[in-house]
Amino acid sequence: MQETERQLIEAIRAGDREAFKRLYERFARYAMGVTLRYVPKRDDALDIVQDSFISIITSIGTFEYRGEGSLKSWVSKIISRQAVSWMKEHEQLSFSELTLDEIEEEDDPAIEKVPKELVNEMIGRLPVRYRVVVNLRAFEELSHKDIALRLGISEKASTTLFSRAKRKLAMMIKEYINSQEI
Amino acid sequence: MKEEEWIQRLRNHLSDYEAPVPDDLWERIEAQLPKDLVAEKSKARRIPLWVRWMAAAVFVGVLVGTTVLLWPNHEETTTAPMASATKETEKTAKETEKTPMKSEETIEAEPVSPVIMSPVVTKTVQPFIAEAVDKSLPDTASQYIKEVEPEIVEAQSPQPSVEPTPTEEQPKMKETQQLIRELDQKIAEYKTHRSHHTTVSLYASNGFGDLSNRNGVLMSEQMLANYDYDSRMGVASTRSGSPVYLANYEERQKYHQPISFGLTANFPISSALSASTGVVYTRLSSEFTNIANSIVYEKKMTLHYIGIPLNVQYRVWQWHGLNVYATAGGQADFNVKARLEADGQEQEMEKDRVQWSVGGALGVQYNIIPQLGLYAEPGIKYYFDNGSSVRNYFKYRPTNFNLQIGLRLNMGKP
Repeated sequence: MQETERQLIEAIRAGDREAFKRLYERFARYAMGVTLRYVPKRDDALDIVQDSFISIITSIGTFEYRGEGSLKSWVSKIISRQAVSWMKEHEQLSFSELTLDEIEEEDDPAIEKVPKELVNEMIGRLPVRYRVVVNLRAFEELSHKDIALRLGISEKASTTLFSRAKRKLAMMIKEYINSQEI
Repeated sequence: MKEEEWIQRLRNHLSDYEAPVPDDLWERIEAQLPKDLVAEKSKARRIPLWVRWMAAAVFVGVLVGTTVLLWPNHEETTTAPMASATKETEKTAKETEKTPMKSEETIEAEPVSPVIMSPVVTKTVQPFIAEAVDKSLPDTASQYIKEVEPEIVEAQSPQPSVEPTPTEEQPKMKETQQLIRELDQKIAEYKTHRSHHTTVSLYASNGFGDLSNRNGVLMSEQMLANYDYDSRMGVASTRSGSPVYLANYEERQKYHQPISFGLTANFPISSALSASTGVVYTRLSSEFTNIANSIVYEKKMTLHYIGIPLNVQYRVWQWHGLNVYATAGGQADFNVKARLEADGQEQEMEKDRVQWSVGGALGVQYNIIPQLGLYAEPGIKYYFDNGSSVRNYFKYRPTNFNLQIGLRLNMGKP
């Protein structure tokens, strides 16, 4: 039976050094999956995962257990922060010169028809500004207001970027589905 | 499709998605972990139950011991000398009986030593007794007077004695005077005791100074070796094992001083000694900041405690409306609410365990009017490690000075 998150945290707090490794083994591949959605280049993603785990372990004292799944969610938040910081530094993540046009709603293709790995990769291939917003909105569950605060943009800009990201992703999914039907 | 629905489908589809990582990634991470991380964590050890019970027993022992030591012992100061004096009188009487110098006629005709004592006792002691056995006196006071009175009566009762020799008469006079002095003192004490009533105190208290820490994150030896630090930096000869900190990693903690508000009742035990207990609310707040590669994680923690204090107070000096006293005791604080705010979002957190503390203070009280006094108590407190993982002011400064300022309301008649 797998160790619960509570047991894992208690072991770490009791000074069990092996528990750090168990924490890593439990979340490393998940962390890599999350990171690749932000930064698709594998070597860069590995650097981010590595730095994130050092942050996770050195700041584990600030983590407060809020039920099963809260540790996974906390890991994801740290990865997200680390990745956005990396993107700001390395991918010239800038929100200037952003035109806020209205996006027409279209029918969304079935995401479930595309393998997980590919969907993850598709998100990673989105333009940098779309990628950040879609990750923060869809996976970190931040509101557009919170995204605006985090990135220093307007709420409207966040909404627009998300809609564009969604439309772009829908196009990629449609392309894939069409290619599979031929 | 609505935004929320689309998000939900995307999340569900990728919720358990994992991507492979290289086998040596953990080794790379481990090499960069601070070497003292585990040791630091192990500091938060749990105190075994027997140690906590021992500490509680020692605390109760000290409290009881202090009370016993400071409690005025009536039996030793009054009845013992009385008994001794009576025995002395009897002994003298017996010895005198054996003296062949006096006849029975002489005994009847001439007053003996108790008769000499008698006028003194009736004139000096009796008015005190009459005054002391007041209707308003507490039962214990009346009982005390009753305990003393028979001995006086016994001393007054005619004895088959003989006229004392001039050498015997002088010590007996001294004994009598001593007896009267002690009785006088006791009665005066009761009068003072009568003027001490239960008091109610309302106060605010705080510790002295906030605490701020900034810790770097150390490079482990393995990491130093991996980076070939010494040869790269060319400092092998100068570093000599001194710690090397990771750049861009830092931990900051700020612990604000505790603030307390209390309502206590003070019950007199004797003229100088009293005990107090009540309810105390204490608020602790702390801020934690972790910086890793310029990413800042901020958390704010607020802990609310309700405490039960138990103190003894000893009056050292009193002059008109001014009163100087010493107080000592212990307190148990129960964490009733714990709030954690991370990046503006409230999170649940486990409550702290019971926080035990002991302390002492020197207090000065000035009575503005007989019913109301202002007081200030600078003191020192020691907080025992309760073994919890909750990081707060008490963990980092177990011994701290505090100042309590309050109002004391005298509940008795002025």
